[in-house]
Amino acid sequence: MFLKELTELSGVSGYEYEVRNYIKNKLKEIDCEYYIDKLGNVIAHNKGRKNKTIMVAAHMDEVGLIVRQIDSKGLIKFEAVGGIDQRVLNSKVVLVGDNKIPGVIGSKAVHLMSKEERGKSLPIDKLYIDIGTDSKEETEKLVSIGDYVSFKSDYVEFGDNMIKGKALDDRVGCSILLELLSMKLDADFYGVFTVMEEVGLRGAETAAYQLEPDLGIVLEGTVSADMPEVEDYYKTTIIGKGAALSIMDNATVYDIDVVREVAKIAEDNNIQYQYRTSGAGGNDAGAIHKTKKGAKVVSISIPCRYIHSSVSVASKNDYENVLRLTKEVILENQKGD
Amino acid sequence: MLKDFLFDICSSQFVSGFEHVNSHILPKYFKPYTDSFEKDKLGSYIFKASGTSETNIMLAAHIDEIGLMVTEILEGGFLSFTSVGGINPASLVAQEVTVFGKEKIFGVIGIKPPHITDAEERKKPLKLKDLYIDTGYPREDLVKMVKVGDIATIKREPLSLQGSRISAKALDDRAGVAVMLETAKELKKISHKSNVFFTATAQEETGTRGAKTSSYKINPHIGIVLEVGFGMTPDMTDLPQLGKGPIVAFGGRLNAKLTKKFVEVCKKYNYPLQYEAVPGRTGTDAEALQITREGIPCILLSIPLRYMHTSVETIDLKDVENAGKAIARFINELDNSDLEEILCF
Repeated sequence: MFLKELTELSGVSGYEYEVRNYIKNKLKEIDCEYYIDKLGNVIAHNKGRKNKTIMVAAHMDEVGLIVRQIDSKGLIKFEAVGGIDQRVLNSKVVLVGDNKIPGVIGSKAVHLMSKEERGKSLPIDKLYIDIGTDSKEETEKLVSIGDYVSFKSDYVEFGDNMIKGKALDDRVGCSILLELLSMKLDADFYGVFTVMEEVGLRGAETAAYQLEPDLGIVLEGTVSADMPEVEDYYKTTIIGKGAALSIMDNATVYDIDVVREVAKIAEDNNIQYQYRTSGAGGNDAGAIHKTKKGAKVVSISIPCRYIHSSVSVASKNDYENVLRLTKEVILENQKGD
Repeated sequence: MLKDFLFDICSSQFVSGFEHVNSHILPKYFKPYTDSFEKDKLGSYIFKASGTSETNIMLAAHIDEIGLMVTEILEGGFLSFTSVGGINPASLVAQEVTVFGKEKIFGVIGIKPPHITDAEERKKPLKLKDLYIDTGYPREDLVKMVKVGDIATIKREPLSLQGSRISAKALDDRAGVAVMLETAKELKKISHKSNVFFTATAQEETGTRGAKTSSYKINPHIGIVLEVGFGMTPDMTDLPQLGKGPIVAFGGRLNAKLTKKFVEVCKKYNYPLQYEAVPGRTGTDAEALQITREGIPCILLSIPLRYMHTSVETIDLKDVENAGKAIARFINELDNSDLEEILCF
């Protein structure tokens, strides 16, 4: 598991350098062949027995912020990169740019708020990052427009086999993919670490074009809304109940036969799984299944609470189940007669 | 040194009513500069630097901080909670917390992801009852570790920003406590006549209660209240700025002549100062001090602070240093003045 390292790196969509460099180094360590394509996807190849072309994808990028303006007092105005709920930004520590300049996103004192203001979140255009400077000039020495900003959030193991970090969506997928590539299975597959999933499945589109997979397997950190206030109907996935198989989301209607085959593989191998019971969201499968003449896809996900915030939470049990299931799916699809 | 002290005390919990839990921390820092230490019955810490005269001067800065208190242990390892002191629920979303149960328990306060939250829902004000601490334990394990009434704070490592700015939780009012330590260090260098009582008061956030009992116990001739004040931000542009000196308050809770004397001293010795007019309620320990026993003449000095009552409260250390020195100088000047004349109407 490489989650501590992976979640503590910055890799906001379009600026995945730290994550990519980490993955490149790991691939060299395990002596796995790879190349980087024009968009920045890392395409690794595990050579082995082959019936079909399998592409296993996990995205390197994470949601975050980008510097849009520096005001006269040296405060930094920003824009969201990917789907960020404004409510998660209140009172946070962030790191700005390559030099990771620390800053805070504050909030007006509760004492100064009107009754109507209390409890409400401010829209992103009213928020700013304070790095402790007083003028535009001071800030401009340290920060430029276009600098990427990520949350500061340490990887923590807590509770009963749970983990917390930023960017579990989708560093859990990256970590599992690295583990799969380390196993040196005698089953052929391409391990693709994609860029810019959070801003429109961009990397997966070009990677799939190059690889023309027969089967795409997407490893994701997906929505789990199994909190007390959420009605069962909206929970989507339940933490600790195993690998989540998608049936339909905003980007893909999954081939139901393939999904059921994967479920059967899970059952045959005593791997805990669940169905992802919401049509909301979408992932790289949306790009992969429409590539060229089309491809079969399956999404195997780790349920994550508080996804797209600095404190996403997942279960190590689910992680293990996704790892085991993906391995079996690859082996099953490439097994000889 | 000043920063180390602040980082240490801001990393520890002193939630209102629970100031006794980490009772070893303050004595460690104050004892080298003071002569005796005692507590009042509500949990205020009183460090006395003895002088040679009969005059008692009380410095008051509250050690307590706002926090959370567990109200219910739910299925799935979630905790419901209420607030201790004034907290905007919006500032709790996506925060890490430490629950002080039988042991320290890590938790997070999250909300539903944007994928299944509609635009209307995002605009709705959040209430404490809508939020939960997720501990990651099954309920049956959790009940062995956490009880209703246990407290929690946001888990936030203090952070150095540019220059002399720092950001942390509970700088309200650890910044004031740090001013006291700076003053204590300064006074150690010069011989002072007055007895100076450095008082880290309990339960300010729940109604300036420790200040009431500690000032009764000390029975000082004057009180110097050290607080934090609202610093300028884009949505509040007419407020004092960080790094431009502490804020001295004028108003009905404070003694006008004593305040004037303090301003004179600062001007004479070139200590930077900013000003605020507070006609009525100050929302500080001065509320309690002013009307203790027959009354205590007070001044109120505040460190400008941004984002009050959030976990990213931000101050400039220069303001703390300057305030500490200015108060020491003020005490020195009072020692050499006719205090009765200053306080006489």
